[in-house]
Amino acid sequence: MLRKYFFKRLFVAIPSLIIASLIVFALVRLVPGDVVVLMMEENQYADDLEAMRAKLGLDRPIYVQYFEWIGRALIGDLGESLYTRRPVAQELLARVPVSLELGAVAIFFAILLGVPIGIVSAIRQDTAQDYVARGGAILGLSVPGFWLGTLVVVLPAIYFKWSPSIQFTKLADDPWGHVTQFILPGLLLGIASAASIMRLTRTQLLEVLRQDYVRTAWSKGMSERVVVLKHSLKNALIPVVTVLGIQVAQVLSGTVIFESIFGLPGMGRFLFDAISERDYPVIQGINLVVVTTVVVVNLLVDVVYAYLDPRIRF
Amino acid sequence: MADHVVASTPASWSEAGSRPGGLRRALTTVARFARQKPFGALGAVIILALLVMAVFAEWIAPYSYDQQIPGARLRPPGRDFLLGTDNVSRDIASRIVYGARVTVTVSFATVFLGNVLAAAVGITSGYFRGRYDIAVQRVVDAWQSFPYLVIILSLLAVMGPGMLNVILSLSILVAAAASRVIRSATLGVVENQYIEAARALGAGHLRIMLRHILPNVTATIVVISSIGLGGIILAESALSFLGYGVPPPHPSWGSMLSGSGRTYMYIAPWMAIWPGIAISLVVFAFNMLGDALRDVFDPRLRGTRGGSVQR
Amino acid sequence: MDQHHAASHRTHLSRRDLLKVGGTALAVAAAGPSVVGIRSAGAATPKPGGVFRFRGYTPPHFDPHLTASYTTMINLSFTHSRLLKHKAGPDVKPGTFEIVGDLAESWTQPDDKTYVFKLRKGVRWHKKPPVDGRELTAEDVKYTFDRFTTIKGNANQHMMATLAGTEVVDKYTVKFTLKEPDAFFLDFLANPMALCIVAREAVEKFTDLKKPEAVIGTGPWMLEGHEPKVRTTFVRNPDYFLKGLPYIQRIEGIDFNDPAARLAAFVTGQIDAGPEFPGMMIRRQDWNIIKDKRPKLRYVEFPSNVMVHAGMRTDKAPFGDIRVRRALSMAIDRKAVLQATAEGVGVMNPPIPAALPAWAIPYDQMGEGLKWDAYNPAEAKKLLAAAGHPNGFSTTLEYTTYGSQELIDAVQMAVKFWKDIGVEVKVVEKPYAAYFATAYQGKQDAMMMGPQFPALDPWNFLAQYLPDEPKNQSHAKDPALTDMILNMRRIMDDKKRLQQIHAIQKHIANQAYYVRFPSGVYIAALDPALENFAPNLGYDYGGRMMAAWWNK
Repeated sequence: MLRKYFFKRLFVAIPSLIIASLIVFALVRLVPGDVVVLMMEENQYADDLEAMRAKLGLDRPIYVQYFEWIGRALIGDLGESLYTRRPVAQELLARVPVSLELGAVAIFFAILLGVPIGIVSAIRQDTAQDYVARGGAILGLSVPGFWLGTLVVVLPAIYFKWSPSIQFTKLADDPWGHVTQFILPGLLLGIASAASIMRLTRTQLLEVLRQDYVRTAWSKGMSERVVVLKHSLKNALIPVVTVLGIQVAQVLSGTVIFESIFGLPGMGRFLFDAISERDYPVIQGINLVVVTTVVVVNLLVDVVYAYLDPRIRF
Repeated sequence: MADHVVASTPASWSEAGSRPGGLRRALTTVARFARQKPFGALGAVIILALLVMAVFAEWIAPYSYDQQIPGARLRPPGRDFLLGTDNVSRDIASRIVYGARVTVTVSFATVFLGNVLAAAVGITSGYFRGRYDIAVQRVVDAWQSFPYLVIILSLLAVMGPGMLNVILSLSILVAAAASRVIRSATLGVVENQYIEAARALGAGHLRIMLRHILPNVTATIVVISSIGLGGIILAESALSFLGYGVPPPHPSWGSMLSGSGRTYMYIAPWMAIWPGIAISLVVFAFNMLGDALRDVFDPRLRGTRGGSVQR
Repeated sequence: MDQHHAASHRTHLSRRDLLKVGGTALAVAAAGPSVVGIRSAGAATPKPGGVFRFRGYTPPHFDPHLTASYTTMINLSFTHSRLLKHKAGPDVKPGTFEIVGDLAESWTQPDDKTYVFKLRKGVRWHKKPPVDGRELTAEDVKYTFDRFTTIKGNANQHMMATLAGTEVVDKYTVKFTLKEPDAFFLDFLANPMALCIVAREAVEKFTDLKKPEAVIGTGPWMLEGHEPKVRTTFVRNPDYFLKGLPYIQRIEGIDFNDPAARLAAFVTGQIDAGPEFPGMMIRRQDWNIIKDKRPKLRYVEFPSNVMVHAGMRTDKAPFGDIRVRRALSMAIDRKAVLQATAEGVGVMNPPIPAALPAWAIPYDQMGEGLKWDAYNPAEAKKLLAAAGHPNGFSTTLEYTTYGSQELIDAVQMAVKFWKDIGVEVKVVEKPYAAYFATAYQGKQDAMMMGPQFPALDPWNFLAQYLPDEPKNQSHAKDPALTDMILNMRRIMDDKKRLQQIHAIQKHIANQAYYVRFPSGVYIAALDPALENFAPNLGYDYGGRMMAAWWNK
């Protein structure tokens, strides 16, 4: 049964992936002609327009370009950066782990903060506890991330003469330093996601608490803790799993701000620079990797979801 | 803001303004909302203040946003200048007031554009269903699996900086997420018998969608918009930080904080504090109001991705 | 002019004094316990070893002949040698550039168009494949200049525009022949932009020099590691041709994007010199907090050679009218701009920035032109009315932010000042690259505003008035001026040339081709244990660091 669902879900994921790859592909091709001219003139990527178009592969029929690009991408060849002349795949390989680690820490903190606050504000709906918990979570979300990041870096430097290391520490050089450098940026990134998770936990739990079996449990006189934890939370949390899938796209690349402030060489900064430098092979490469990761993660999340909640079969 | 919401909702809230004695009834409704959802009401008050500042900026602000006051550089907050002055000798209070106008313009225009697009996609998708729906949903899937930043920055890199371009690129971002929610709301509405009845009476698709479905998903749109507005304000400030925000002379809070605010944070912390507070307060207000409206309208409204816009 | 350099330690110049002395003055406005450190190098015996950590830059690539980016040049200044270089060390006054030999042991100029360089013997390339420590010869010099002048895509080729060819006389002698006399030829050879000597084998093996593996020079340090946007590290070259040098074992250039985080890192001692552009600087508004948190630093102040100006299409109405240009210039309160963007500490700029005191005309000697620099909105309005614009006019101004709040503020202030005399200027903000491809090369609709290339020689600042120069952003087409500039380049006598350069600057100022803005005064901040080092303008980080050592 689950296998059948898996294939059904896969059947849906593949077209999404193909459409996404077309969008990635089109991003470069749809840009107005003068951007190609700019790429040539501003960054001296080529000597003349013909050479620039040839370099981007724009001189061949469009379907040939697409299949050649996809064909190469499937064997791990994402082309070469126009700016640095290094293979895109190689550059990505160095950066993907950084983004994944930061993302993992961020999601850890998001759950750690979001779920308990969601629970409190659901079971104490419209009480002081609800307001304080929810207000606190949303207040955390309301401060622009770059400002929180700035304060976290600058205030300790002034008051304690300490600030996070600006040198990225590699795992091989110093495992402890490597892991700990993700804590602060991960926490800040997690605060932003925590509000979404808190909201979803709260609405789910509110809904579940109104279900008959929970009412029955209440009426049987079970203690609140048992009701909440044993009966409601498990069911309420299942959809929360799905929100993690949504966070992946952001975490993989939406972190440019924290990467900038904390000096982490991840994909966000890489992508941001590539966009500024009009380095289209890099933009294409990062996008394809991110989009594929997101589609795959969402597929897995849905399958896990279906496994956890046997009612879901669509 | 609150009035608008009241006018478009289910039974007990809906017809407040249209009957005799409507004003009193409306006030009662507002009072009840304030009692049940004090945070939501607080949010509404803050947003009302924001709108007033934006509309009446010329009357409220003691100076123009670009007026350089001779001899008044980097004055701390005090009697002469309520919130102090900046490095260009401009009155920060005035810039905050005019900044409200930028904030309101960007956020409301973005959410409006985004939701029009989202409603067009979401309602048709939920109404026609079938192959059209499947095809559209795959595209939305694909679109949503993109990092927001890629879409916004790619568009801005091509279109160049400017307030309009910031609005356009942010609205595309809003549209994808909102269309999902609107679609599921539409799916629920379509099941209702009155849709069947309208169809039996020979109403065309367009008429059904505009006259029968749209009004019934408006509450959903209002709720996601409210939370979305907060997200847009944060997104604009993040773009400012990255150098792609609303360019001067418009005094955007985001650029006041990320640009000169951060540059002078040691010798003139007030240059960062006030725009920072302004942003946080308004984002907080939109979120609280949105949550309150959601509780009131539809506790089941789930899967909402509003507010997940990255900062 | 050098006596104007404020070498005295505790001179308190008020901001007003500073502005009065203007052009030639070197501002040391704030005095702390340690200002303008001129440390005697002989006080102690240099100690080899140690690591120097500074804010580094990730270059697009490492081929000096295929980019004009200073980020590449800063990195190569550690690893490569040039024929000539600028003298460095504590007794060099910032803003002056005395030419000394680098690879060249000596040189002669038999006639106006010929230079003969004798190379040092026993100079070895870094021990890296494929060059593997081979000796550098005249062939390498010839190869480098042939490549420099013929390779496609070299944005710096204009530097060798007067070079006709190079010729190997013998293994250690190379002869340069020019098309016409060029008084700035040696300045260009010494310039830390682009003219470092490269090895043919490296080019042939890697097809170009873009990859880090291709960074093989004869310089004091060797490239050790390069992680883009993280760090670039250099290690001492044990076979450097000056025996015993360099002293410092390792150089770490830490690339760091965010200014607030950079400052935090500096305050907490994670880097050894100030983190801001163009090297080892701090922002003036951060000075107090830095003094407070890292009290023992050494500071050196000297004016910036980054000069912002507003150009306008003088080939189009209304800017063809000299009265309009003068009015636009008089509308600007330069002191207010300096106050707002540089904490009031800075210098007024003649057409060659005041930061280059050897060539800039003293500001108060600009004559007629001085009048158009003085803030006088009433007079500006009169001039506009006389030019047929009693109600002003509307126009556009293109710029890019360079990520600089100072520039953003200066543009906004200028626009406001112009508005005060009735000129409505609509600001068009462009992405950096688009600005560079258009407005920076004079391809703007009406006005443009931004910093000029911070050259170390006067030629760059004057060449932009020649009609065919892309950087002639104001489209000046002034036959008398063109003649003056071209003739000046042929004058080999320094004194006579200087007179001519002063005359040119007076002419330019009077014509008001650009609205020139003042420049701030840099503050270089250094760890006090770094001995025998002095900062200067320009990108020759390696050259200045070569004889420095750690006294800790």
